[in-house]
Amino acid sequence: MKKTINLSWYIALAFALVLPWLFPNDYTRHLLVMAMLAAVTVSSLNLIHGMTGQLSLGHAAFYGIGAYTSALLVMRLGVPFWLAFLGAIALGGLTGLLVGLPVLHLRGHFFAVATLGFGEIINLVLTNSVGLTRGPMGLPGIPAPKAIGPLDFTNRVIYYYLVVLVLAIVVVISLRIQDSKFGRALLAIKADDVAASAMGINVFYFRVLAFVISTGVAGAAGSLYAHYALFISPITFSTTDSVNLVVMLLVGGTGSVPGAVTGAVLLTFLSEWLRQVREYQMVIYGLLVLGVIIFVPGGMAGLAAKWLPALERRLKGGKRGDVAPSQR
Amino acid sequence: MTSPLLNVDGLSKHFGGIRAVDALSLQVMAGEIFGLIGPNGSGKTTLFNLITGIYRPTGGKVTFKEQDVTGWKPHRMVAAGMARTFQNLRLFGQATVYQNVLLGAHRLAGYTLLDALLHTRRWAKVEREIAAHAEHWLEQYGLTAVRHEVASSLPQGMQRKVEIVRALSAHPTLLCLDEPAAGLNPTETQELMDFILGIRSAGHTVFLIEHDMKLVKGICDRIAVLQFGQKLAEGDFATVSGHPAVIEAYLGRRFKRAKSH
Amino acid sequence: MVGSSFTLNALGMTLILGMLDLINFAHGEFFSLGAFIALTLAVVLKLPYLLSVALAIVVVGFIGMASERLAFRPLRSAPRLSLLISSLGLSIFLQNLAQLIWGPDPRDFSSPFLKLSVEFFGFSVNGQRVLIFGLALGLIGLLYVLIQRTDVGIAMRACAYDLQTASLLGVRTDLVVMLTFMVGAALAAAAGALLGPVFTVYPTMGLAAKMKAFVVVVMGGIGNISGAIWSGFILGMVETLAAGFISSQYKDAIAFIVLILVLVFKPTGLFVRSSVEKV
Repeated sequence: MKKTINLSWYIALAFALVLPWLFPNDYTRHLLVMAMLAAVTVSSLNLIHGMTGQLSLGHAAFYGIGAYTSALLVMRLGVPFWLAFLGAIALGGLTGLLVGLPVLHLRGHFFAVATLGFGEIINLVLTNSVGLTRGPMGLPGIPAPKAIGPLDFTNRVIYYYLVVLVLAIVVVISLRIQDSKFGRALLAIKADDVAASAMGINVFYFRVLAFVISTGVAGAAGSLYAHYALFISPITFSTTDSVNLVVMLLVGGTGSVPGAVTGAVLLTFLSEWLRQVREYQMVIYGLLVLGVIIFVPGGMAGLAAKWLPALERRLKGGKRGDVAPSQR
Repeated sequence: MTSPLLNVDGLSKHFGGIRAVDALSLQVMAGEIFGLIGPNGSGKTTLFNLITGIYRPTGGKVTFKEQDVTGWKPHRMVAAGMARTFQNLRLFGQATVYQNVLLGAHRLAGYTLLDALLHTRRWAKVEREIAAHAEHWLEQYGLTAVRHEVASSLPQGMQRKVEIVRALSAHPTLLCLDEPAAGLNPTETQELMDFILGIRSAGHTVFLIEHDMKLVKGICDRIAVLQFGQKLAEGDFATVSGHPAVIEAYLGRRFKRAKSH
Repeated sequence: MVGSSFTLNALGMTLILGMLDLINFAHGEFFSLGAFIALTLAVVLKLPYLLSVALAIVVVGFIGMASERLAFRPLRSAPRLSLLISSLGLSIFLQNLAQLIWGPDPRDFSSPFLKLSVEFFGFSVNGQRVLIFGLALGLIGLLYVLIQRTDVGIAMRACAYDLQTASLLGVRTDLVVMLTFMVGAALAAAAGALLGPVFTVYPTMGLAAKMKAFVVVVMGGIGNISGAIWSGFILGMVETLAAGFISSQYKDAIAFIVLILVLVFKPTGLFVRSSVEKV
């Protein structure tokens, strides 16, 4: 039996651990934290969009729910961060369940529009529940997680390691789902849901399951973001941000776990770099999306599969290379 | 008399004003090869979709293994022991033959999400079992050589076979085949007939829709004829083909055309 | 009154959706470009308001055609979601291009009709709103004639029914799809140029507009023209009433709630009987 986690993942992990020491300045380290946070969120999106083909255009809202849940639990109820983190996962997943149950039977673009609608509604609730969230003024003064012995989470590098740890767990979860009947069922549903149901796959159950896991992970990312940025406001969790997540996944390669991580890291740095050209930034960004979807629809992972089959096999761990209906 | 494996009782499906299947009753007995014939648009595939749970019936009752399964979802029907193929081939085209067959065995993979995430011993054991299971089917039906081919790259006849093996790998009691000979040449059809007989000898009951009269005549124990969603006749080939209503409505006018399919 | 402009905008979207099965996220940008171009022509070049509106409609029509050629035609055989993502990219591009040209701040767009008021059964109604209503009805009528009575309209309906079959029957589908985009974009631009004076004109104004167009399209049933017309008016009324009776803070949420309710309970739209997918 082939290994789910192979050598290239360990190399990637080692590289991620060394990274902050290659860039010993605060600004780059800040970007690294943001990139890893994005990687967690985009991986969560991949769990639903990449694996089942259902496109969530409201994913930033679940990220926001995680951020607010965790921040408010700590600030209002004095709950320790770690419990609040679990709370953020739970509430993210629960919201995913409540949103998913009515709309996950919808196909393709209807689901996309419905999640977009839910995303907007969640955002409006965050903006208008001034008593709880302070609305558009945002929520300042969120405490960083308490230090555990020598691990001081106000230190960027330490926080970076925390995020990398969570990312590693999410990657392992994603890969192990892919390598089980769950992943196979999800890919089958993505390819042809009627045929999948004739294989004895409970299509709706699997979609809901994937969406709940996905939104739970998005909640986790939100919590990590809140206790890093120490300030959150609804603007960070808008439809624009949801679209951003989709773009990152697209660039990385929809359906590919390493693709999701690569896309997130790449675009975090790219959009930072594009800031130099300020007003042109988003124009270029729009062109980038068009260029990728038209010319490289498989994203980075697709390119890797096309040009470097040998490397690809190593990156994705053998057999998955020959499934990937995502890279049609 | 033993009770039938599948009992369809007064089953109806209306689409708007159209009665695609109209108060239809038939029985499939365990161990037989039962054929369903009828002109295009007579409701054969709709009937399959009703039995296998893809459509919800408008009225009537389906009993399978003495259990009322009316309106069950497809995945529950598979769990109950019914598997099917599709008229217009629904293989997972981008996946390999092996992966298709592995998906067929989905219902046999009894482990939880937690098992998969933690890679428990049960996960490893079940994964090994179903992998071996899939290999076994591939070997038994002569598909080992193409197991790593992408399904959509195979010739039509081979794809039909893969789809049948995929359905078999769910260990069904009843196998429903929707026009298995469609698009096959005479040699391939002859192979298919032997193949289906082999499946029956392996203990499966077969319920098939077919236009190819040679196949129907050659392997079906009993046949039902459908027209306008209703059953015209039922019985062995000789009885059915001698039935006046059938000759009038179907064989008389259509026999040649159906044969040339 | 506002409902009639929802309708215009949504009609453009439903035309495109019906033809390519594409939810066009760039539709809101056609809307805002219409407003911006009309504004520029009227304010900078001092053209009369109605002429500016007409020119804006034409220009945006061509932009719509060009977008189809560049952003969607290459993806004709790709999965539907690729088209959707492509339209997201186009939307980001056009929106920020508008921001680059006209700046991010809201602008006032004055129209001579704003100062007029029309007596109507004892109510006084703003002239611009009467104009919106009148022109919207006129354009809807024109579209109806185009689709029902002309060869182009027949070709469009054939393509919407089945692109491949239409092309086998000798319809020049590429041209028809491009024309559809032109008409769709022009309708959105008309809505934008007409609504601009009632509100203000800013680069992200298309967002709310396209969301409402979605709602109308989904309510009416995909590609269903008369459904969209009714839904546009219904949504206009529901929003106005809800804003008055429930809460103006959540006014924007109402459209989304309606959207989700329709998707959940009647995904084929309010005006069609549900159909079953052929297996």
